[in-house]
Amino acid sequence: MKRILYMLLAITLCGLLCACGAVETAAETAAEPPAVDLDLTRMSSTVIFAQINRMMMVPDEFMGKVIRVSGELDVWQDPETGVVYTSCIVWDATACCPQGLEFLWAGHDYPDGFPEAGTAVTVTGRFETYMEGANMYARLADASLEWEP
Amino acid sequence: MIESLGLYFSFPLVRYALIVGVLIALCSSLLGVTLVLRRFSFIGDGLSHVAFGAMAIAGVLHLTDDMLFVLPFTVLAAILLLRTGQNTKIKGDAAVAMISVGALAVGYLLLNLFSASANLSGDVCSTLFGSMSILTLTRTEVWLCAALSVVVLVIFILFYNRIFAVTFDEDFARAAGTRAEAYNLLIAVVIAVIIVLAMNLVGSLLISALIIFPAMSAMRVFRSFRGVTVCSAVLSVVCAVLGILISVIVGTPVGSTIVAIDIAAFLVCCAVSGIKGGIRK
Repeated sequence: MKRILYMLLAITLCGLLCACGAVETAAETAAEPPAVDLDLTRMSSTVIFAQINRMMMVPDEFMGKVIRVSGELDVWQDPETGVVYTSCIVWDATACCPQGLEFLWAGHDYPDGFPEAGTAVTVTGRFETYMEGANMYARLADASLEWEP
Repeated sequence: MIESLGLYFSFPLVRYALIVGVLIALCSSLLGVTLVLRRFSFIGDGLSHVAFGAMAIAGVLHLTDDMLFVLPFTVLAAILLLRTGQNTKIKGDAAVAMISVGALAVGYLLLNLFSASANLSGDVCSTLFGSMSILTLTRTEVWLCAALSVVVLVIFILFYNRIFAVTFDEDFARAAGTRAEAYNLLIAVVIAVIIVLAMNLVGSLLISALIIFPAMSAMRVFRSFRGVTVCSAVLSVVCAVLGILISVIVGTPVGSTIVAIDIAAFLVCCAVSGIKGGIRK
């Protein structure tokens, strides 16, 4: 009887050890950033601007893709609704035309943890569109945010 | 560098820009020779400003596809400016200047008064200098530009001899039975189409460079009309492709980069001409 109990205890402990390993693996997987489908940080400002413009014009082409972009953090609050929108702003080659890409930083609501507006940031997120009223907008959802302290 | 080029070529917007850029450069260079020889080099500027004014009106009227309005408007202006006649009260360069400046001013005024754009100065800047337009074409616009360019090329090839005759000696061409008025009208329409297309490549303010520089560069090296035309076309296409690729890789405005390379090509042709002249002596 005791042998059986010891064997059951050993099997149970082995099972617990395996489960712990699975949790650690899941944590590591969650910590790894998703594979980037479109890395705009490797491109010239001309192409970055044109690519973001294309995202606004032909959003279906980018739906669900993981996009990485660098620019300036911009924050805007709708005076009527009070909703705060955070976006990454890039400038064209003549520095006269800004183009912004809204993002939702996963697990953070502005200003919790956000750097100051105007800070150079890198955003990686999944492209999606959403409706507000009758208008459709695009943004990077489940995004990660990086910047130099 | 090659890896970067490969990466950029994977994007449709870069491929579209190169296709349309090559076609526009080719068309503008062919008609540029005619315009330069007829002393109408600045017609490109004038018509591009008219097109800008028409785009402003189309924007104020919230027209979805402004080319349907801009193209006929610009064609009409081209016909008015380029028609030859003895009883026009306002002659060539004055007419171009009046229409050009007037359209630009009225267009910008209308945009400031009625436009709902979130970034008016940015839109105006991009339209005037062509910093980004060629890289933001939709597939429909690419097909439209390609179709119009092919039509222009076919017209030029089919009517090459008559265009040549009307360009060099209109009175003789008329005396020989050529319908000079009809061909002048055809040239005016074709120029208007090219101007509207070329605005996507280099913007309104720099269109004249796309028309003038390849022709002037070719004239430094060749003497025959055919030689100048072919050289102008080759130079224009090469400069446009280099300009687009450099602006994409380095991050410079597309229109200005193309014009800068056109200027460099002109200087090279001047040097070649100087060397050839020195060798002959």
